[in-house]
Amino acid sequence: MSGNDTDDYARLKDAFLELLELDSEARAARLAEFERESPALSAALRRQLDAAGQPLPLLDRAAEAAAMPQLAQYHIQRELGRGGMGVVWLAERELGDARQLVALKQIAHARWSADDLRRFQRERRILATLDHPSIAALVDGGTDARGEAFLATQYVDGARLDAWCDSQALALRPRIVLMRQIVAAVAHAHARLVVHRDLKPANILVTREGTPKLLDFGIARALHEDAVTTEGPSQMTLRYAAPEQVASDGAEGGVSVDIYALGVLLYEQIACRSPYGEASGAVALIHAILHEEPPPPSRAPHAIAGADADLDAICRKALRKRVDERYAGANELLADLDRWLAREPVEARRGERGYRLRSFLRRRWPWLAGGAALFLLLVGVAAWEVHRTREELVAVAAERDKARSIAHFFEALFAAATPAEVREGISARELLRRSADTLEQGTTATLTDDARAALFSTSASVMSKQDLLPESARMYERAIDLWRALPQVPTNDLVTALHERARIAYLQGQPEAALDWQQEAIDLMRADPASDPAMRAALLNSLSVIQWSTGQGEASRRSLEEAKQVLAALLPEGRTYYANTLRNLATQQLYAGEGEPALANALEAVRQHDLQQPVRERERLGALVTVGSSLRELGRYEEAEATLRETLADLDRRGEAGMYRTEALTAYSKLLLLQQRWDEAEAQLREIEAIQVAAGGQNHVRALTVRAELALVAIGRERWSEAERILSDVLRLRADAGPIEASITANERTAHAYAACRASAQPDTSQLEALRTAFEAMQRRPPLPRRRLDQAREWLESCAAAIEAARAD
Amino acid sequence: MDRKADDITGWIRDWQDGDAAARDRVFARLYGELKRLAAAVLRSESGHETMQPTALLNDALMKLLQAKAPQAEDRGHFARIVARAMRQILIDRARRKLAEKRGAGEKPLALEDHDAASSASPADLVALDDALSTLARFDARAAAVVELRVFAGLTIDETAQALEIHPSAVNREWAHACAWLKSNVFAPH
Repeated sequence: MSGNDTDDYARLKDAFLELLELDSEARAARLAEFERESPALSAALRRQLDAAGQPLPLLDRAAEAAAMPQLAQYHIQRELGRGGMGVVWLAERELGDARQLVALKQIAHARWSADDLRRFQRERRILATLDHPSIAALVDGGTDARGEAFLATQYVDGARLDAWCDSQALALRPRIVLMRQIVAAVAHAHARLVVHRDLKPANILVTREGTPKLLDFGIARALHEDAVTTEGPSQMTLRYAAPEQVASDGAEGGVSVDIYALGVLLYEQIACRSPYGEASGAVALIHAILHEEPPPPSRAPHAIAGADADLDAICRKALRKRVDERYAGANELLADLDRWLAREPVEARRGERGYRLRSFLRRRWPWLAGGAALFLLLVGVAAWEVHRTREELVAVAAERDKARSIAHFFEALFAAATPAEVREGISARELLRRSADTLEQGTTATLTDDARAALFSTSASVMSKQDLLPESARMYERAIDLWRALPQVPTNDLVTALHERARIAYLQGQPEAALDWQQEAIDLMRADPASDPAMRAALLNSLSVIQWSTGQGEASRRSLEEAKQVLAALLPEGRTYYANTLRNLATQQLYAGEGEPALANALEAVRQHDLQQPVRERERLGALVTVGSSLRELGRYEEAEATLRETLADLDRRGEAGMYRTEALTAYSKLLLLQQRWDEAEAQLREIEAIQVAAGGQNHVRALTVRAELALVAIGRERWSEAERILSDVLRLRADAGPIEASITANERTAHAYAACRASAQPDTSQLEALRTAFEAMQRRPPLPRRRLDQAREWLESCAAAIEAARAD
Repeated sequence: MDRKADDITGWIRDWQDGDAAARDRVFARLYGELKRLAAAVLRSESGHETMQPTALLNDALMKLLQAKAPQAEDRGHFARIVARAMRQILIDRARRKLAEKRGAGEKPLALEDHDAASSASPADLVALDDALSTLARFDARAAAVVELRVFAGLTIDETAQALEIHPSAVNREWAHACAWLKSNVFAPH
């Protein structure tokens, strides 16, 4: 009985769980029975029971996590409940001779720092000033013996507000009286500058005597939590959240938030339903909170009898979307409730006419009223990018009016869609397109050219992230033209725009144009002594990629050499970047046949990674692959094999399945091909093929490359027609390969011509000519391993010999 | 520069429209980021290794959803991914430490090692990981419970939510799994 077999395991588990339910006497008896049935099972059970008592901190700590707070002056009586915040216990607190019942809350996942604790203590002093019969006082708080944060509040034995009202079947007037007490408590707190921020029925208990008690006053703030986002069953919380809480990203709500929540509570008391009706689910609720005008509560199907237009007006005023149209303070709401109770005209109706007019005007601009975050929710990442870019710009160029220009961009975005379209889910791209049109038509005449350029650039950056490349390119060019013409050229802005424009050209398959844009960016940086060297190095790196892809290997290497120098001067800053640049340089040197300097640079890259704390293991292993390739190119096969195998083993140990592993496998397979170890090479290549096909499909460029390599195995095995077939297939599928594939295709064409020559029963000189032409192209763009040039030379001879032999027959 | 735009925005939208496959794609894409985040948390908090990350990673999820509250089901799924990521990081680190110790002979422990050792010894971690892998073969649910509790720091209730089972079932799974794991760690078969 070892538990190493599934049936045994199931038996063991059942028996063990059965034993756990028993007291020690019954357990011993049952164990004895098991002993008779199966000694092995009983031994395993005993072992397990013994082991259960032994400490294993990893497991025990998890078990203790929800354990009771350990506080000397508190006697814990029972668990009261669990919520988003943590577990709540009923405890008795000793204060000298006095005893007090408290609700002790353990704050889940809150391990406070000294700063947190100080902030909490400061808040606690403020909360201690709250003294109101309807506010459950915070009596204590801090950390317990294990360092877990806790809060102690006066214990309230009562029912939730909504449950209590229902159970009592309250009429309208007592409901309003109850709400009045709640509002008065909130007003009391507001007068002491304490905001609740999370008012909801769960936080309002009604005692047996009918007194409402508000729990957790000021706690959201004391805990520095955003009430909307941290609570577990968040829909409950959302339901009482104000538009500005939903819309803003972590901004603290002021008293207006409490007014709104009181409005929701009052509405529910009158209408017996939520102001948002049936809406449930975060998306629907958020939409309703931000946009939907709740119907008058008095007209709800189950509204409490006696509800009138005055109460409707009070609710409406508390529930206004715009903060400045809501009651300015809880005391104003309180005054209106008192007026209603006294049957006087309520203030809420006084301003209604004006409100209707304003709201009519505003209905056409709902986006400006709803605020930016609404938009974020609807169009997602695109707008988030705008938001972030805007923040960056505000930070960088606060002294200029760029921030304002971005505000214009938002306006244009918002104005570009009708509300109905947004409800139906207009795409971010469509919005961006339209707003770009608006911007270009020049509604921004009041801005300076600098600001307009920033506006174009921002919009371009968002569009490029949405893959709207032509539009983005056009906007970048507008920005570039404006910035170039300024008397004081803002180098960083212009360089960024040029670089982005280059990137788009490159992505659009226009490397020559990309080169021009990128070159201008770099020249600007070189001319500006104050320019950021790290940025210059980054630009040089991209420049080298573009140069490489346009066949300017030499220039590409020079760019990297320059980047290397710039980065070396910055060390130790940017060490990883330096190491990666070294590695790129090494790779290009390998293509140029400069094995020794390549090896030196690759080794230096590894060394730089080793100096980094913590070591970036993956990238370090990537550099080791380049070391292995360099050794291979230098003909040091044994060392190359040792390095690559070790690197692969390390990658496997780390569970790396991505790019770096594929790269290592590829380097290794090339070595195996060189050494004519066909079986091993084929096995490696099949593995790479599976990876590439899984990643990009059967006909992805990388999958094609692997297949062409497999054709080399076929050639090695003298399976000429098979090789010919694979390669003609690959070349046909490559028809639209970009310039970056040129060196690879030359290599493949040569192999194809050779396989064709050898596959023919009667090879002729035209085939030899085809082979020669392909070989010449290959010489202009040598592949890796460069030894393949020698191999191709042998192919030329062997094809010629085959022709000779055919003639002789 | 050969970066290809992916459609994570679209996935998130599909996910919010209830497409579970889209959710899985989003999570798969985020996995690396999660591991990075988790590792950062571990570095900054040497004492309590297993408890902190959930809250933080939950924040990450919230950010992703643009302040919308994630559905309970999504949170459960997310927690499992977090637990998996945490486990992998902790175990990798523990194995590395063990290897270093073996390789370095009498080398005195660095301060960092002391901190980590005070909370969980690398040998314990590795042994637990091995035992947990064995357990997973017999009893995937029990292993999932342990993973969520130990590596994502979930409570019994949260674990129940994540696995969509009753808290009392979690309690039973946990009680047995702990005893089974301990007997395996202390006296491996």
